[in-house]
Amino acid sequence: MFFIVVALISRSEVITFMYLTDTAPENKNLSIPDLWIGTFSNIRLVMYFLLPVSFSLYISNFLSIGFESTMLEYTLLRYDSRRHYLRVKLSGLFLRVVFYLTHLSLTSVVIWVLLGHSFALENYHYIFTYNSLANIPISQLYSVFIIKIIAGLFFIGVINLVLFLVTKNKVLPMILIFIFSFFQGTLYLYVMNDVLLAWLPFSQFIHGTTVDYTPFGFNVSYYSTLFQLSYLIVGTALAIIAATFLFSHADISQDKNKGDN
Amino acid sequence: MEKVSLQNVTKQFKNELILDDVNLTIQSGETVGIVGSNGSGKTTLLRLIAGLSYADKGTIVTNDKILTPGELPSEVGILIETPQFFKSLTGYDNLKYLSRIKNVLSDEDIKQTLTLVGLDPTSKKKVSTYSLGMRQRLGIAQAIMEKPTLILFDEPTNALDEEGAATLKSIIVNLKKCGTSFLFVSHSRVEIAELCDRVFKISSKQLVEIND
Repeated sequence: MFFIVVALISRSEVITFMYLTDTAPENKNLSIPDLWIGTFSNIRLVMYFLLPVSFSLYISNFLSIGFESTMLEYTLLRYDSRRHYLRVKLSGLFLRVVFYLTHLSLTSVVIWVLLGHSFALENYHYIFTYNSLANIPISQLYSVFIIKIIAGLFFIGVINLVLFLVTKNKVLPMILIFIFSFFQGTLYLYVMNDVLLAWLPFSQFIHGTTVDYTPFGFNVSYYSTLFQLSYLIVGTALAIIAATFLFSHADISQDKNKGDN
Repeated sequence: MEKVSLQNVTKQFKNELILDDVNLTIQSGETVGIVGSNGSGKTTLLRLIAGLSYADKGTIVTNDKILTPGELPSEVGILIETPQFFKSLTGYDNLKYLSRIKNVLSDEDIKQTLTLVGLDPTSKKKVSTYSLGMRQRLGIAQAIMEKPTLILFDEPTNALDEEGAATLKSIIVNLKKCGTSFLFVSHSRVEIAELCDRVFKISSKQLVEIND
């Protein structure tokens, strides 16, 4: 149900954006590629807010599974070490990123087709336009998009894991991600400082914000695909190190407030 | 061969001293009991040996592995506190989930373990409908099913009826014959003395052997 809502909201946002910016001819029916690419470049609502918050919700049960019961103790003792357990957890998180993205994309495409959009070869989104000017193959464009979204979602997932290990609460990470998403969205709408926005974590998986797509992207000379991917790799590595440290030293107990039975 | 070795182990929790300079060894095939009142540190000791918690001072070696933060001992089974499982799954499915981690058991092995502890392996009842006694039996099953060489039991006869307690005793006797080491923790010395080669008491945050 949630993916249907995202599909509908993102369609509305993309259409509004393209008509307001005159990047699509009047009364032109946008294509599925326009909507898909537009969704994952949509800063205002989808990428800064809906995606991070919905993904946090999507993985919350997975991250906390077993922690509320003695199942974690039974599970943990069957691994070679806590790092081994964490590696398996992170592998599962990566799979969930792929499932989430696939599920969201497929649901969106089905909804858009039902609303009358086609897989037309004519594409009007500014990313296609700039790419055609630069003669970058479409397959390369889609590859870069998918790699960044997967890397970005995985980064958000590991942040969720760290927040869960710190707070030991399943709901608090989602609330914190919600607050930060709201904060980043507000910054975008009211501050519009490109340098500040270029350094925020939820900007890094939006391909259409790079300097190559100015004026639609952020006008920061070093804000390229290389910058974004480097940020995501370093950020994810630091988050994994933090999660490993927290989990390796944690007292595994049902009741963290009791010292002992 | 030592299965467990605790040397000068101290553990604090939120600025409260739980265990102070504790020393303990458990030899291969030996069964050791630890008794103490509620809040004395028995379960904490069990958790330290299992790698679920780490000592603030001292050294713990379990099954030849020095337990520093992040390390877990191998071939250890544990039954700790009131067992909780995935409530929406059956007993068999819960054990199946756990068995997939090491992947050394067949479906038949799991069913045999359930039968051994007095549970019906074909039952479709979800764990949410289990009585406390049934959950305790399921907890025992998960602790023994992969035939670990060291089993840690915290109040193992909790919620068990007379038949259940007798079944547990029979399981322990048979496993002891195979060389399995046990550590029992209980508030009742009477409950575990019969099975144990040595019994200790936690007194003033330290471990004292009780000699009859």
